[in-house]
Amino acid sequence: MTDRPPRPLEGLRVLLAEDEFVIALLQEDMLRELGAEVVGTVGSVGAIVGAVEKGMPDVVLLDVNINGERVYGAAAALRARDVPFVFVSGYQELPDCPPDLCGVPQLRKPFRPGQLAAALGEALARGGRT
Amino acid sequence: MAVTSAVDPAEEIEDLRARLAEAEETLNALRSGEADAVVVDGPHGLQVYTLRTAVEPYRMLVEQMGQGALTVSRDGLILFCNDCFAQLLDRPRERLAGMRLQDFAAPGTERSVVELLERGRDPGRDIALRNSGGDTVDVYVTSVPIEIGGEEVRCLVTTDLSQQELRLRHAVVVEASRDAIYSLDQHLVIRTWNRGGAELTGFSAAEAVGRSEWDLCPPECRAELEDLVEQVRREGTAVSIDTVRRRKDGSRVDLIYTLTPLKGRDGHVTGYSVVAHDITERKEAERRLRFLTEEIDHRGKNLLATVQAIASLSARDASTLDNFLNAFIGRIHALASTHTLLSTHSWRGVTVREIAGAALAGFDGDGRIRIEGCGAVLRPKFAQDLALSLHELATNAAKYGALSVPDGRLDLEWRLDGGRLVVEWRERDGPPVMPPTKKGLGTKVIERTAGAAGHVDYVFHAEGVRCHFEFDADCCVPERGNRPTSSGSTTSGTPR
Repeated sequence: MTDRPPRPLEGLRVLLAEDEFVIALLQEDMLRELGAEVVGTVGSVGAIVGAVEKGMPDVVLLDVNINGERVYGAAAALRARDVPFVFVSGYQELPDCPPDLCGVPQLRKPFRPGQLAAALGEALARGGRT
Repeated sequence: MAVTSAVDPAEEIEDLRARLAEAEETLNALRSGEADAVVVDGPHGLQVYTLRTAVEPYRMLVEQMGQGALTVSRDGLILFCNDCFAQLLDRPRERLAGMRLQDFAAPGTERSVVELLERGRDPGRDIALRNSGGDTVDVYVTSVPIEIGGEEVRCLVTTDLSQQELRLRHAVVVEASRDAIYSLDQHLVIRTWNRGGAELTGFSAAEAVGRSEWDLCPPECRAELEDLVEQVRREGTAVSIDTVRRRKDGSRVDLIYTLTPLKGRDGHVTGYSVVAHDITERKEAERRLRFLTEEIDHRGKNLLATVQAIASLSARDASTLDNFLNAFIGRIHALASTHTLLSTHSWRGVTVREIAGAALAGFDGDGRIRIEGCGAVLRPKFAQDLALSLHELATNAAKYGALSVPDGRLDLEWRLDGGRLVVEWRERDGPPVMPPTKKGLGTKVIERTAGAAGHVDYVFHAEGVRCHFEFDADCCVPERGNRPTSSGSTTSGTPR
């Protein structure tokens, strides 16, 4: 239904951390249409690091608030592993964000495929360090 | 000289004035060292005035005192009064000399005034005087007789009771206040301290008085306090700011802080009064409001993202616009009714019974739907997930399954099993079941219900569709399991 962009994320391995499964379903579809491979979807903060080790994603989409839990601890663990990530949230300003994570690329819900691709591209360009 | 009421008052005053003039002369003589005692020839023979060194200071004291002071003759003629007494009656001081005190007595107290004059020495009594405007002024008056030039006169001291009363009331108000109300000298050293100050800061009056305001002021507010003092000094009026002070235990307290200059008679600032009002609760309310605003933003955006997802994903499954609209609107309604339930329960959670009732509300089919289970309450997120899944199951059942034919039956049961919530959906007596050829959104939603916090078996059994949901114990709200609820329009069983 929307203008289909080319597949700018061809071959990119992405892990999704999102507790709202309907939203996760859409994000998976969007990622596939952009050419990416979804290596997994996790719905809890505790499962993120394990899923990263198992799925070896190139980049992670991190919802900031998963089941009422902040995702910053897991984000710090990803940074320690040099895995780039994007924060996804409905917040205008990230609540209680540690200063060293404030520069992480952000996506505000709801977003369109083009915005998703741009944020992932930005995260990859910066690498694991932001 | 015998002063009686028969004597013309004018004459009497002349006489007394003459004596005062003599006394003035004597004082001057003494001050310049010309004499240390004076002999005055009076009607009763020679009078010796020894003027002690205290006289001049006493005069100054009388002039400065905040109470009315006057000397009157036995008959009530005013010989002398200070400014304060003149102000009390709101009359020029020079006019009062020679007038009779009784003439200022308010109706009903004349007798008391006369009695006072007759007694000479009076430990104190309340009388009422009238000022120039005709208003009554309540005063407390004490009297001491002394002899001047052989004449016994009365020295009266009056205290304005309205002022006194006002002061007392103010003192009560200050002491009863929960605000810290205290005074500082011009070097910002605490001089008075009320109970509110003790409650607010933890310092008792004994600990606070003598301490500097700088001790209470945290380092980050020092510049602000310097500026405030400077501004209050310069402008000469009270200034209020929002600030912070340190308690005795080192913790901080948010305040509205009002600094008011205290001025001497010459208008110079001689100190300050402070009123400090605790606004911790207001600040807390502000923080909560900010949190709620963020939370509304977050939830609103999440909801929009969900609607976006439902719209996009429904569109992918639909072959026609009508198909899309039916599926999309049905799902939005399922979402909306769960929101209504959650809102009714202040977003704490919803019973499975309510979720089931809402999902099947459109299908009351002559008792062929059986809804039965315990009073388990699901947390908001899982309530929403289960509601959407039951909506998908019900929609499919109405299109292809047990609810598409008159004889089809549906059992929806749930129970707590070792803390885990188990929900069973079982269709039977419907048309032969054929598994769908492609996975639509409905199937994906059902399979992902509870996500990582449980599991789902969705089976296209030959006798009818079966779906077995399991939720981990922490998906449920504890302790609220037995709240009585209604089950919508469908038949309901008894809780186990």
